Formats: sequence, structure tokens, C-alpha cells
Amino acid sequence: MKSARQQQDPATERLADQWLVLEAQRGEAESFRLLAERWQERLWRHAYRVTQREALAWDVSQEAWLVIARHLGRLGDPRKFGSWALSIVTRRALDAMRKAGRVDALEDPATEVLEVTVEAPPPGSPLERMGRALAVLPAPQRTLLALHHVEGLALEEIAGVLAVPVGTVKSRLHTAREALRDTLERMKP
Amino acid sequence: MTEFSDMIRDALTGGPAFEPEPGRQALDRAMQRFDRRARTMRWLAVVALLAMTAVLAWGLSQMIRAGEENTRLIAHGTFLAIVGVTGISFTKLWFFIAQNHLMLMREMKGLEFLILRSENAGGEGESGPS
Repeated sequence: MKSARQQQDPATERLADQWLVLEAQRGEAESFRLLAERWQERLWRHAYRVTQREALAWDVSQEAWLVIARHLGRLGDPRKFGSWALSIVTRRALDAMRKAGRVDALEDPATEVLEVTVEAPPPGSPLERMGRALAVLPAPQRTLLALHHVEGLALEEIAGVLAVPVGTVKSRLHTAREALRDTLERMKP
Repeated sequence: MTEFSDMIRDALTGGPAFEPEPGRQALDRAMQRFDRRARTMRWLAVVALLAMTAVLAWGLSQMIRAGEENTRLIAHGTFLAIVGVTGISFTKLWFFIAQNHLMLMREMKGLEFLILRSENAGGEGESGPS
């Protein structure tokens, strides 16, 4: 599915998603299945970026899909499906992190990331250090960076996802980048 | 700044391989819920229609059987029928207005698809208007 997506140009991809959302809103189960297949990996990856735990990311993504299935009919603008779905995943993931925080406090999330990464960068490389720095960053800051740098959401969209004003997003993004720089500095050998 | 942003993106893009099997299970549950919801809505519509028909039939039979002394019953029945029909009409109108932009959007997306398809010669979409 992913390779099929990559063959299409972005405009067609967006249009296909919007079409599937509109069809699913009419109760077309097949359209909902196709939409879910197209977005499943992306949403799961976002959940993983926030939680840094594979199993937790699965739980979050499963819960998110149940919410999407229940509330898709209320989505007024199919163009906003992406940011809407990401906002559901983000909220669920941050909630799950808060709940699991005390339980997993002794675990080092960075270690887990390195163990499960498929193509891990060489140890000591700038990318590897960046990965570790991001893993130790507080989840809300990592989420913000992921939404902006990986999902490519505009500040206004992030504001919608996090339910905060645009100005707050700007300042939080700045703080997150500074925190990341500080962490990287501290990690320098 | 750009290099820093690129590095953030690259570092966040990595992660474990996506396993389709647990994903399928999660998807199946969501599909079941979606299906159940769609089926429930359809059944509710059928039940509401049947209930409305039954009430109207009962009202009609009462009116037919009513004698001259029961004209008040006929008036009440007529009034109730008017209220019911008006209520249903308003509900349908509200629903149509609430969903109208989605119907229009669906038509527009269909046209956009056709234009994109003709522009991308040989480009076959995964899905689209039939």
C-alpha cells in the first residue's frame, strides 16, 4: 500500500484521502477500510514518536482508530482528516504516556529506541545523538517537533491539534528546539 | 537552522519496522465498529419509518371508525399527523443542510479526480468515483 501511495503525486493522494473520507461518511465500509489502510502506518508511527514504546504505540493507534470510526461522520471538512486524526493520536498518546509514566519511569526509552530501530545510525554519529536527545526530551516537546518537522503541519494546524493558540505553538516550538540543543550539548563527548 | 531541522526529521523518521499483523487486528476492530454503527443507523431509520407508518395507520383507522360525536378525535388525529409530518420534514431539512456541503464537496472531488486522471495520462488512482 505504501509503495502504491508513493507512486502517486501528492495532489492525487490528498484528493484520494478526501474522497475516501467523504465516502466513509456516507457509511461506505470499504472506503473506511481503504482510508484506514492508507493512514494506519502513519498514525502508528506518530504514536511511536510520542510514546517511544512500540506496544504502547499499538494500544494508542488501536484506540485512535476506534475513535475515528465513531466520530468520522462529524468531521465537517474532509481536508482536515489528517490533522484531525493526528490530534486524536496525539491526545491519546500523551494520555497514555502520563498513565504509563510512573510505571516505566525506570526504563530508559533511548535504549529501547536503539534496540528496535531497523536501520540504526552508527553509534556516536550526529544522527544517533540526535535520536537519543529526542528520546529523552519530554513527550509534549517531542510531539511538537514531530508534528512540525515530520508531519509537516503548519503552525495553525498544530494549534488545532494541541488546542492552543498559534503564538503558544511558536513559543513552545522555540523552547523545544532550545531544549534539544541543550541536550545535544550535554551529550557531546 | 535547516540542517538542524533536517536532522530532527531524520532522527524522528527512524523507528521499528511497521508490523502489519497487529495493525490488521486494530483495523478489524475499528472496521467492526464502523460497520456496526452504519448498520445501527440503517436499522433505526427502518424502525422509525415502520413506527411512523403504524401510528398513521392507527390514526386513520380511528378516524374512519369515529362517529359524528367523535369529531374531536378526528381533529386531534389530524393535528398530531400534521405535527409529526412537520417534525420529520424539519429534521430531514436540518440533516440536508448540515450535510449539504459534504454532498457538494463529493461532487467537486469527483470532478477534480476526473481532471487529475486526464492530466496524468496513465496514472491510475487507487480509488475514486466509479
